[in-house]
Amino acid sequence: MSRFFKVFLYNMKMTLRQREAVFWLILFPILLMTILGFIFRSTGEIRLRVGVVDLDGSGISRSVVEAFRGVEAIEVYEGSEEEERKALKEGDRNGLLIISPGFESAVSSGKAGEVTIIVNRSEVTIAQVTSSTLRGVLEKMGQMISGVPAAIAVREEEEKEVKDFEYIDFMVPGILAMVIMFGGISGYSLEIATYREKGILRRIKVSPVPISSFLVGGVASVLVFSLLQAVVLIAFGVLAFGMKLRGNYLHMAGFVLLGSLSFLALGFLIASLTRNSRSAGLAAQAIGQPMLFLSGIFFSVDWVPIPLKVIARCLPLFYLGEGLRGVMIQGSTLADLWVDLAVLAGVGAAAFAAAVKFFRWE
Amino acid sequence: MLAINARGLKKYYGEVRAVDGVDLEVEEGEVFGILGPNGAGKTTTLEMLETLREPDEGEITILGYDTRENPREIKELIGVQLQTTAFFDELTVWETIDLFRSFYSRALPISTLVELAELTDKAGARVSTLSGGQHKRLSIALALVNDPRLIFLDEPTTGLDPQARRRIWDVVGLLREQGKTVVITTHYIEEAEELCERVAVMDHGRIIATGTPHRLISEHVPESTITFRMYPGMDVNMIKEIPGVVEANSENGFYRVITTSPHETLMAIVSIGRQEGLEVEEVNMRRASLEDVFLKLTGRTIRS
Repeated sequence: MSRFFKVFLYNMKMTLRQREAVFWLILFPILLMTILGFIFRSTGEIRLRVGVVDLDGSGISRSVVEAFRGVEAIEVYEGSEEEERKALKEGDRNGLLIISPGFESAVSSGKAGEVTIIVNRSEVTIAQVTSSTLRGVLEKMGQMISGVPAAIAVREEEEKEVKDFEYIDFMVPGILAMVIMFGGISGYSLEIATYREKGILRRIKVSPVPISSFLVGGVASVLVFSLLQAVVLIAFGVLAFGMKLRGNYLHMAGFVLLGSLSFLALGFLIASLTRNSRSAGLAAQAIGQPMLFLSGIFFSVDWVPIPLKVIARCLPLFYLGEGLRGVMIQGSTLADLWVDLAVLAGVGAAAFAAAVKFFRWE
Repeated sequence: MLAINARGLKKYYGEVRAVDGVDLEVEEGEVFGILGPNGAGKTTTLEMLETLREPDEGEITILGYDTRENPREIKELIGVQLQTTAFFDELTVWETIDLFRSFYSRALPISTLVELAELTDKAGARVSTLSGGQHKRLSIALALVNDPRLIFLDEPTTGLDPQARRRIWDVVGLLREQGKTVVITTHYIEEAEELCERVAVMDHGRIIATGTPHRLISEHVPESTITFRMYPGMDVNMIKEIPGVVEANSENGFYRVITTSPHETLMAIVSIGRQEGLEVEEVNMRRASLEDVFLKLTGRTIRS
């Protein structure tokens, strides 16, 4: 026990004494969160480009179009349905508003006039803003026309459930997932590769201590550190950006620890399979970076083409991100997230078994 | 009891016969040297004795324990300094020793180890700031944390300047006084002659001679070399007739004489010189060294 404590303690000390490591482990994620948080907080000030197609051509429909022109945040483009749909497809419009024929007669006969919204889904945050802005404006207009909010029936094409959370809520678990992944695949595993390279592993081998009991102390320090990172990142997200945290803290801690173990196992595998610490570092980057962009860590993969969705679901980071978002912002329990847990545990166990099989002392 | 008893050790790497049939007996309390050029198989032999490597063939008993059956017991009793000595850069000397102490079931106090390795004023320094000699002394301190009965030092002074080397020798001297068994590999002749009670000369994976340095020299190269200057000079053939002289030659008044009875030969040269009215100057008499033994046995110098 005292040995475990010593190894744990000295590993913590070593990590904290590496200034560079502390930067990458704590300050860099905060910096990244700040940058992304500011970029996407300002989306409300962007003028949305909205195409309007008036198929009714009546007085009331005209007044709806004019009302849209009067909204500060919206820049209105009018054209034929064909032109505007094309512009949307090419990414020149954030959204499209089509006023159906018979709008005026429906409204005047007390029924709801029909309007279709088509939102450009290529950027999830802006899509949400577009959708809610258009709906908001239409709702107000409906009220003005008849005093009843239901005067305009909004139909949204390609309708997908828009979740009620803001980008910061989405991003903090993502950054945490990133931090856990890199901490696992390139943090301690690089240390192991360095120890091997420098002959430290051999020096430990000639002492009576089993290597496993040496490594356990190191792993424990990584786990404690990842909890620390989670606390710092979440606190920063909540305090600086008003992130809404919903969920059980124990479940969050559990998920952080499982994710950390799983990626540590992957890291050990990388360290076991590579020749030296340099190639281990390169391999960790080569595996980590694409995973970062393909797993929906910073941006949702709900709106990407099917092949990318499939790829995302093949990557363990996807499940870590999904699980963390589940426990942190959707208030899911560990039982709800059994798929994510199972994938992470499975990947971790398989990687660990392979790492043990290929482990080398020198 | 024998500290080390190894029989018929072999270790092949493909075609390379790193160790090719080594027998070794080391008594407890002995400082034993393995001398040989780089690539002779010294380190591989040591690593098999340390339980780091399993021999392809052969049996090893360390302090009564078999290396295959009881590696754990052996590891508690031995101290090892490996040739490559790197530790944790971010820890201090004190912390590194503290950490390694936790690996053993019994350990010496940190202060004792720090003093023994003459690192008292560096105890609080980060390992990354140590000089080469300090680093080696730290690795020796770490080899001693468990107060081992048998200590292996693999080329403890390679790459060090003479002063730093001397300090390592002092530490080994202390260990000898404490009655520890020490096995040192080296390719420095002086080191083997200075430190070791017995030396095994190794080449091409085999031990080609074993004994005290004195015995190895008198057995294999009993001759000494005498060099001197003489003006205006005398016939070399006269020197060759002196009893005991094996070989003599001269160049520009500089003479080199190899003899099995150095004192008698020198006396004879001086008396011949007096008779002829010649000055004998810059006389230098050198006994053979282990280098000459190696040269005699292999036809090569150790550092070639």
